[in-house]
Parts: sequence; C-alpha cells; structure tokens
Amino acid sequence: MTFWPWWLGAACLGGLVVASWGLERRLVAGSGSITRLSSALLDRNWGVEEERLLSDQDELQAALLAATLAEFGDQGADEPLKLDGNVIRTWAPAYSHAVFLAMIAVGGLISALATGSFQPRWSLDAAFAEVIGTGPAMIGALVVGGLCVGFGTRMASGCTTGHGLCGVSRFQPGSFLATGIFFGTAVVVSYGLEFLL
Amino acid sequence: MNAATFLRTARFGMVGLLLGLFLSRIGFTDFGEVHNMFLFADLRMFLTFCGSVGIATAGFYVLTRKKRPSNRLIHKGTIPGAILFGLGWAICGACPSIALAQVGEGKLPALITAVAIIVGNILYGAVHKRFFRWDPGSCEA
Repeated sequence: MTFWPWWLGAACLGGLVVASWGLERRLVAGSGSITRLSSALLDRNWGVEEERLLSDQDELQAALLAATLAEFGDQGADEPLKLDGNVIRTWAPAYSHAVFLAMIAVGGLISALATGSFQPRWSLDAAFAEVIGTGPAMIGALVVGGLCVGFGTRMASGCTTGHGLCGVSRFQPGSFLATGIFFGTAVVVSYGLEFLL
Repeated sequence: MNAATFLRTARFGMVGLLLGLFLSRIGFTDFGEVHNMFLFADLRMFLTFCGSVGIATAGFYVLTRKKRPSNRLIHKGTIPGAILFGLGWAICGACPSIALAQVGEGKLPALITAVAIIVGNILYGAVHKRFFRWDPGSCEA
C-alpha cells in the first residue's frame, strides 16, 4: 500500500488541529478523550446532568452559589464561584468524546475501504510479525505496550496529538520535554528490538 | 441532548473521522512505517510529523493571539509518563488514536491495544489518587 507523501500528510494533519481550534476552540487530544471516556465508564456519568445545568444559566448560577456556600461558608457568598465563559463554550459531555473516539475507527475503515485493503483479520502487519512475533508474543506486546501507553499518556498529560502536535507548536515547555522524551525513548527501544530480537 | 450539544458532538465526530482517515493514509497505523520512523530508516513520516507541527505553529500563531489555550507545564509526571509512553508506542506501534484507527482498518488485535490503553488510563487515575499529589493538568484545551 502506498502512503501519502510527507507534505500532504503534514498539510492534512496540521490543518486539522488548527481548524479544530479555530472552529471549536478545542485542541485535538486522543488521550484527553480517553481520560474522559474512562472517567465516564467508572462514574457512570456521561455528562447529561452537567449538560442540562450548562444550558440553563439561572440554574447554573444557583448551583455555583450552593457550591460556594458548601466550600467557603457564609463569607464566600459575596463572591460566588464563576465559570470561565470559554469553559461553558468548549465543555462537551463524555459521550461526545466517545463519538470522537469511535469516529477515529470509522476514519480508519474508510481509508482501508478506499484503498481496497479492508480485510478483518487477527493480525497487524508483516513488520509487526517479523519484529515482535505472532500469537502469544503479539498479544503480550499489545497488552504491555497498551498499558504503558494508557498509563504514560495520562501521567504525562498528553500523547502525540496533545503534546506533539498541539503543544510543541505552541512552544509549551511541558510538551517540548514530553515529546523529546517519548520520541527518544521510542527510538532507543526500537533500536533495542532490532538488535535483540 | 440539546441542539448545541448535538452539533458539537457531530463536529467532534467529524474531526475524529478525519483524524482516523489521515493517520491511516499517512501510515501511522502501519507498524513497519512507525518502526522505520523510529529507526530513521525512512524519513517520510518523521517529515510528516515535523511538517504538521510547522503548519500548526503558523496556524496557532495567527489564531491564538487573542484567545490562548491553557498552558502545558512541566510537572513530576512529565518525564516518567513520557518514558512509559515511548516504550509502549515502540512495542505495540500505537498511541491512543492510532489503536482505534487500526481497529477500523480491520486489524482486530488492535482491540487488545485499545482496551489495554483504556485500562492503563484508568489504572493511572487510581494510582494518582492514591499516591501522587501534583496536578497533572488536562490533555484538553
């Protein structure tokens, strides 16, 4: 299968994160949406109640006043908590994040159908079989690798899109450090796999 | 669901669809391409990544002069978290979005990766609550 030349991929990927910010005031972040999804799965809260509150400004004010009183007592009542207008505009319920994640898979499906490579199969690709293996070795690598990715991205507060694309381009110190380290680690581990296996 | 949330969810879905499509057509879902990027054996994907950061830099420079997204600062989890992520990416060939695009392509073992990523994320939430005191911030704006 032939892939896109670098300039086309760069234009599409870079354009997408910029367009998402321009239209939505939202940074594309895979691991951020995974965090929202896992919180929703744990709490069984998909954000429906918050959505109802946010759509009713009077009720929202009353809820904020009640929260202020609960937190600070009477002296807090003079200055009730205020919500940043940007938070109200960009907040999305957890199910929106679930839709975002599901549609990534649909995007992969469309790509595979368009290139005629769609074929459901219990394998990744030839290179994976060669470097890592098949059967139990494959399953072990995916479980261990996936756990590291899930744990690490949440610990570092971002992944390739959040830190690499949206953070480095905004000269964020945490993103420079994180991107340098995760890319560097992946380079070292990949060379290690080449020489060891 | 009100009309505003419906439209926002639809836009989320559209961004997700395009992200999955682009990741797949660029080659991020192909272990061989990713492995060769990390070995610097093939610079195409490395250039793609650098190019998209360049375009995003220009775009954000223009768009964020008035309204800025939140900052991403260095905290105690940045270095160990990034090391774990890099290790995991090199082994399973996927970051969170890539695993899902692989599933869509019909690579069913990527379901294991996707579930493991969600479990790892939940696990970190529990570990953080129990042992750590710093504020990890958010992955979102």
